[in-house]
Amino acid sequence: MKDRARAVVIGGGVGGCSILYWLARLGWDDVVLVERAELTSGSTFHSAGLVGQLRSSLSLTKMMMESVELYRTLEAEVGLETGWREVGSLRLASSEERMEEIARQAGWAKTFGLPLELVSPQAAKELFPAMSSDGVLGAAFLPTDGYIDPSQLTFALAEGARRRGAEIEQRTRVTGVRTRRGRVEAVETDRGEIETEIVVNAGGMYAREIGALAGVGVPIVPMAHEYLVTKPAGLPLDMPTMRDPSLLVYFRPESGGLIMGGYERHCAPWGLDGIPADFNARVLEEDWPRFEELMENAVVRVPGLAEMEVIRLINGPEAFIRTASSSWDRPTYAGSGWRRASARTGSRAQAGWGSSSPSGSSRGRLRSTSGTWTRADLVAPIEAASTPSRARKRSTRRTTT
Amino acid sequence: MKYPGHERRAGRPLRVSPAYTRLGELGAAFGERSGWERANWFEPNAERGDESLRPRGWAGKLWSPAIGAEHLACRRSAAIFDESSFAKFEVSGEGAAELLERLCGNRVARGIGQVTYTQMLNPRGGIECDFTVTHLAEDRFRIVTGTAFGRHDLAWIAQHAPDDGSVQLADLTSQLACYGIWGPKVGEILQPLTADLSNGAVPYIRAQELALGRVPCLALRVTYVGELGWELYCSADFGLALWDKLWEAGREHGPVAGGYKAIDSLRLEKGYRVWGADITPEQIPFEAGLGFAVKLDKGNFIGRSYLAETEGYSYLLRCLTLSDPHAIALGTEPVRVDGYLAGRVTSGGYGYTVGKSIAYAYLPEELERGTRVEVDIFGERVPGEIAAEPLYDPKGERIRS
Repeated sequence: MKDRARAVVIGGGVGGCSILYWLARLGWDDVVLVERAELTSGSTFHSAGLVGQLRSSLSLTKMMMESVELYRTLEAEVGLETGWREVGSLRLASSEERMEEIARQAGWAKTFGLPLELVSPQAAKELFPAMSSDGVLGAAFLPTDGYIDPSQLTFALAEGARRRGAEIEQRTRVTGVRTRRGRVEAVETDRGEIETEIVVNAGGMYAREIGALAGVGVPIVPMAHEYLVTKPAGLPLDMPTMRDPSLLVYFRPESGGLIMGGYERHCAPWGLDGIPADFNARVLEEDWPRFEELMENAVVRVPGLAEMEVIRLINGPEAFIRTASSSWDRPTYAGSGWRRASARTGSRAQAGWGSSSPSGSSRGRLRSTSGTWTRADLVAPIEAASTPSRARKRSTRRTTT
Repeated sequence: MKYPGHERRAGRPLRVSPAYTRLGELGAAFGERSGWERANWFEPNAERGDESLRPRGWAGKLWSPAIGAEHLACRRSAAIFDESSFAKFEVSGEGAAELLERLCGNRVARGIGQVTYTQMLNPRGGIECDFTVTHLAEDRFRIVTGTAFGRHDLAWIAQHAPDDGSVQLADLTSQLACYGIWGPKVGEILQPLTADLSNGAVPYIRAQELALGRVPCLALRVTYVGELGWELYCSADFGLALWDKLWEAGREHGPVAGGYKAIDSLRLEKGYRVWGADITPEQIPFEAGLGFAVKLDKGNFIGRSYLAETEGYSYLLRCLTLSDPHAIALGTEPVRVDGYLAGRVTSGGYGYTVGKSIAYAYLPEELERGTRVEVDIFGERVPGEIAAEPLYDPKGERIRS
């Protein structure tokens, strides 16, 4: 490990590797990335991988468009697959307000030259045949959006950075950031010290702890985010991704089946008292009660989901930022898993499921409909799905009936 | 569905001005910015407003007739605004003047009592900060910037400050209350409180230390609304007393308490820029129409060599007026000239004095005043034209009277 670098990037997720890649590509080859475990093992490996370019911020939108340009060529450049599928994305509008929203987004997209077509419910259904168009008034279709394999992308970016001279040190835990008069002098790790004047904190959900090492407050809160993966069900591979913001859910094709997740109204902060030091390549136990609201909504939009076998409900903590603002009611991403936190008071979050939910009724209904959504399916090892692939095998118990 | 300008409820109230309870008693509709509670408008003022001016669509969702009433009160008599949430810094020490001259595009160490509007630029001439600098003492300066920009601006200064102990930086945001009082009747209102301001002894864009009643204040004769008046700063422990004193003094002249939405409407008519929307690190001052605040002949400063070598620029921030007073641009909308995409709206709103829907956009520099444009607002192409700027009091007579 070198003992001096022009910049040190902390964190080997898709964000850190992307920053490293771009630093190297722009001519900073004397750079090092340090990762406490292995690349992608924080939250990247369990990210769902939807890629949407239109953001509420000017600079984020430009960055995402630049990213898609890169995804088109990265595989040829480094010889590693990224899993990039430029299948497009659909954003449904199921109310007059949502129709206004997509009309506004169409204008915003135009100012970037980003393709966006306003399409009818019928056209949306032709693009995403598994959906019901009931209640849908229209949709925005962005043909150059798509999905990617976040882990493969990370490895490809890392390879691209290495080829340009950047170094990556895995199993290297940052223990301190040495500063003098408010300026960084070195990054201290359990394998020695790297002198540097520039540190990039790409720690994802660890960013708060890393910032604290340098006396910097980073308002990051890990939130447990859930999505499920179904077994192949003969769905087309080239369907676009689809979001229904009124129903809070998103869908993505996955090996002939679907990935379905969303942003529930009662979010679940996690690790507020500190993230366990050995929380590497791990996810949390499935939390079906919390997912119930999304499951009910998802079946409204994709009725066939009720018949599909579930491989796994992925429950993984991701970094959410408390203070970002957004003009639209949509998450803002930076990197793999940074979203606008839906700021809720602790009391509201605690008063959520359990006290007010109709316990398990719809889950019972779903199971009786499909007959296949069994506990055995739910605890099947995650390796059964092609992505994400790095979750540790864990015996997962459902805590409610 | 969250609309632009949506106010979060969680975690509030957190940071409050010394006059917070008074604002509440006056019926403030509070919004939140960077943790501060701030009045968007005052509900009782709605009675004097004009409901028929409510904008169509989203812009009309978070709106009140009170905004127009407060705007007009400021133009016709006087309005008091609680601006205690302003970020305020002090830069002091023997190296303070040198540091600020190295960072500011304008000359700021101009003599004690001088207030200077300036930008701080990055090496590409882009606008990193936009604020006023007050020369308080030979080696002491006060900077006042927007509520949400404090951390960013202070970091920019700190990054460039020498670490030899010759410059001290202090964040005074929480220590100082600030009330803005503007309008043609301000002189009459303040006359009984102090002799120092009533006789015109302090010219425009100057600072004066004085006592208002028994409250020691720093008065800055500056404006973000385009009327005669002051920003009055006092230690936070005197803040409630100062508010009460101003309110009492104004009673017979009937000033109203005004909120931030009225300020935004007032500043649009005067063409005052908002950092983060109208001006960002991606624009140089010349493009933003702020060339008057850049002194290329003052000696070296960051960004100077770029600006000195820049021969012309292709885009210019222009003021647009729209033909439909109920069609309000919220920012991000495409602007077309001759049917072609020419730019996007940076900010917009309604000017209650000029009676027009106003929008700002960067457009090709060669376009003449009066050029017809179309602004795409929620899919509707609203006609307008490039107007001479500012729309209100172009000679600044109101400010200097």
